[in-house]
Amino acid sequence: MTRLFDLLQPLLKRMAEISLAAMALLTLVDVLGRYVFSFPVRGSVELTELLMVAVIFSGIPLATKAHAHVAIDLVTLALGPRMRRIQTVLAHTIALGASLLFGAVTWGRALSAREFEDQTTMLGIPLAPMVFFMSALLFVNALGNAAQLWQALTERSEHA
Amino acid sequence: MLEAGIGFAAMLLLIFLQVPMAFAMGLVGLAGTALLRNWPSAYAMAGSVVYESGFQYMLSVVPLFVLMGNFITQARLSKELYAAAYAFLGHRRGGLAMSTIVACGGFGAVCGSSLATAATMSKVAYPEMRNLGYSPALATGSIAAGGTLGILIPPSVVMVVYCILTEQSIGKMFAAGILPGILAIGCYMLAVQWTIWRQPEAGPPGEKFNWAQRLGALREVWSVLVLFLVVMGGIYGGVFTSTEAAGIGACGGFLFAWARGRLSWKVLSEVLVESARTTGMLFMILIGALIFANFINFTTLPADLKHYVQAFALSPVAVIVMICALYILLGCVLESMSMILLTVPVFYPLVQHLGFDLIWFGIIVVVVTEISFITPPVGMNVIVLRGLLPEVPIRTMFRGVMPFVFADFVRLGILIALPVISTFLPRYLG
Repeated sequence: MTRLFDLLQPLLKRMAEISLAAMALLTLVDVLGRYVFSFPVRGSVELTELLMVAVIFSGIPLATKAHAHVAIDLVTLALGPRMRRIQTVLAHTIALGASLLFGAVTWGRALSAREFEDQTTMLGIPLAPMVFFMSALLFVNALGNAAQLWQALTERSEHA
Repeated sequence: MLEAGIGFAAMLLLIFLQVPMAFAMGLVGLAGTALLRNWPSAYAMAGSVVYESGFQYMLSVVPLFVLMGNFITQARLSKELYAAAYAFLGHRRGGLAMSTIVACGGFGAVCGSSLATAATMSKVAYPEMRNLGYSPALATGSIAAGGTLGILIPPSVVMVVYCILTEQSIGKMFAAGILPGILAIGCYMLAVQWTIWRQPEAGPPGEKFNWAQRLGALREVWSVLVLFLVVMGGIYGGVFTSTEAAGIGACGGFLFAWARGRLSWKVLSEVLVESARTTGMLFMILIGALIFANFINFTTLPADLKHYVQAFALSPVAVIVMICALYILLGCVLESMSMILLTVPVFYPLVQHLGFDLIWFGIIVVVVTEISFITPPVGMNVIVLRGLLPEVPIRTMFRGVMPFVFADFVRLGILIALPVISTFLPRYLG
């Protein structure tokens, strides 16, 4: 589980790099195109949105990997080692449950996007695949949570 | 009211269990809505929140301003900014701490994050101040406080999020931040003066520069000025929208970092991945908080708040003061972005109902958020500094920051008493 999540990291990173760089360049080309060549990029707003989805939803599991999601250790610092371990396992379990739920609700939204054939206004790009993609990456994030839970559990048995 | 109370209690419980805030808020919001309504509608609501936060053009400014800030940080313009401020102020007692404040303000003009401003400045300003014999308390206090200017002086990621929540113009909001930003620099300078007056040995004077050297130092910071003018001038000149300005700013930041020879492929990749990671973190909080806010809107809390204000015949200003007090309390335990996302949807209808300008309220929210960055025990700027400067005890840092917290309270009072400071520029710009 941990290994699978780690294997996915380079993929997530490349996706984040390419889509974020493309977002910035797209704006530049669009603005330059509008003023210098009076030829704006058609559907640039929609393309930006699609690229943004890639940036955000690859960023979420990347943040999980780096433990970058904001959490507050105010109370837990005061716990003893035993309670601390229980708390860590509990926190990771809840985070895993939340990620799975977010993935599931987004999957539901994707199904309805497919049913109603949602698409972008200008370019007519179908949205359902993008929403399935969002959902899939939230499940990848859940995988990350599961890996961290597994780590917390195995650490525990080592100490015991 | 009761349901909302239980919701908040459950969320705080999860947060104190160290569940990441975004997940805690989302989970409670989802479960709460399911209990109030039913599971299918809670499912549909949460699905729509995730979907809409992804497909919202306005929100694209968030990753792009984050990217711009990260490029600027990589370009190490902080050194030149600090040198320029030093040339003008360094020869005074406490002058280096004042230089830190001014340089932070300058950095805030091209970076929209307080944490990044404090972290960048600490690398340049702290060694200089310590070499000259500054007390660690004043040195770290001025960096942590100066760093908070990052979210007040435009561009600002926090302002963007506020505008999206309250449907205000980002351009006007940015314009509103300029004068309060200058006021903030002034108040912080006085806080430095006060510290020096109490404890003259805390900040010995540095060397004096002549005017030729000063102008020379100023010339080094032209790039910061150019980038600020391009981004802000572009918005107010109507050349591009604030959304596009973020993309242009990110490209500008890239050019500076590249021209200064700071970008290898490896560094470029790090900057992009780091920005995506921050974006993912911010959007996760956004999604969690919006799900929670939707739940709160299903409860009677928003209506109850209006009702209480009427029942107790509270004056509008008293309500604002109470809201600020609540923010300052919440700010002690919550992280800033989550605090804004949790509270603004609850408060802004009330504030609007009382007849206040939402741009002005935005400035007030940003200022109380700045305070939350430096108040114990969860002052994020102080915590970040602690990570970067492990040799300084956190107590010393919080002691050093106290005069600045006091200055913040004074500034908050001034901004509440004189709304024109916040509303003057947006009248003509944006």
